[in-house]
Amino acid sequence: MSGQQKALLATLGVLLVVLFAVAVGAGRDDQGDPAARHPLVDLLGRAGGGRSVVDPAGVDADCADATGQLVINGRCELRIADPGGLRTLVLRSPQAFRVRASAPGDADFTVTDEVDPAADGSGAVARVAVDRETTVLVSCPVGCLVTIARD
Amino acid sequence: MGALRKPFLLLAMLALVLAVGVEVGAGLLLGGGDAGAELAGSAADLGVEVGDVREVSEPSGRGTGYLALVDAAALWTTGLFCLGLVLPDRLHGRIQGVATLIFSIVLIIVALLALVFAFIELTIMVSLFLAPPFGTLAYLALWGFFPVGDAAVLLGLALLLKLAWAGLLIVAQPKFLQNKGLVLLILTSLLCTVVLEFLHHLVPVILVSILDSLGALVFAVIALVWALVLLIGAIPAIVKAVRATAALRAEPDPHG
Repeated sequence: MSGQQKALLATLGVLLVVLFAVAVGAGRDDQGDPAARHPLVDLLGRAGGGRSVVDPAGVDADCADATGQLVINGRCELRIADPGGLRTLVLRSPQAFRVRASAPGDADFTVTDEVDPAADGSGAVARVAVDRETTVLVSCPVGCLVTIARD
Repeated sequence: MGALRKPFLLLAMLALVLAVGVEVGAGLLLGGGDAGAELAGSAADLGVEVGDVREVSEPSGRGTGYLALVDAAALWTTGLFCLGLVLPDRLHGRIQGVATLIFSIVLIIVALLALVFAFIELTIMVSLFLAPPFGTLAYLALWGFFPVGDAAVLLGLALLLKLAWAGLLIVAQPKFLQNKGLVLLILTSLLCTVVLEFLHHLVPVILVSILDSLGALVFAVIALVWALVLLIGAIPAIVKAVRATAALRAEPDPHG
């Protein structure tokens, strides 16, 4: 091995270590805002982040008028059969409603959210992540019609 | 150029085995820390009420573990050099092709499965993150608080061990530098480690798992390419071994 080759190799090794140190030292370490949009994630979402939704037929509720159609006066418990993986339960309504659901995975907490109709007239939408047999509580004090959407 | 310095070759092998061990063990070493407080903070950012937050832990990520797929090809190549130290040349030459063929097929299958798993996980992550507030919170609970600092320590250790492996290989036999495939494999392995570290620091902490998974996806593809290179490279060795065996059988028996 010539001296020139040795120098080239040593430079390459040092360069890799420096690049690594730059990545560690100069990179971001802020927590980030979950409400903010990140262009890279939006791009990935457009590229292939297809959503697997819960089949309305797999949802049982006393307030069900027909498959996927819920007429809620006060509150209603939606009993969701095991979807066989992580799925999204999509609930749509022209009126505001409140949803309470457990988090998926091993996480042990419940989330409660008030969903209001969008300003563009597309109604109120709640997307609930479900990965096992669970119960989701939907309530609207003045009464509302909620649809379990397929997309 | 000189003869092969066996102790350095064995040390190179040891360094790479340790590097792969660190990568494979990353799944056990990383994550597991409590992230309940961080999740409660993020829920407040989203304007959502969460009840008692329990059992929310840091994820271990896939990227570091998937580096081992790329390094499996490097480990196999270095292992073959070491095997040459204990096996007679004739036997080594004959089994090398067939063993590499089997190894490359196994690596292709494992890399393909890993690719599918990483892709599915990535699509779930992105889908959840883009579905606030329930989906985003679910994402944060499962993958949101990647232990970037711990991962940097492990990746730094893996990089150091791989640099030692590369250096010891060259010290063992400078002729290895003439092997373009080996040099490319070393560079691929080292660059993948540095790239993963860059990915871990490119975005805010809550998004690191997504880029880590993206990195894992790319590493699975790179491992697949290397497995195909090994597979194609094994064919001439097998043909040569078959010809040599056939020629030996065709020779008249001097005792017959």
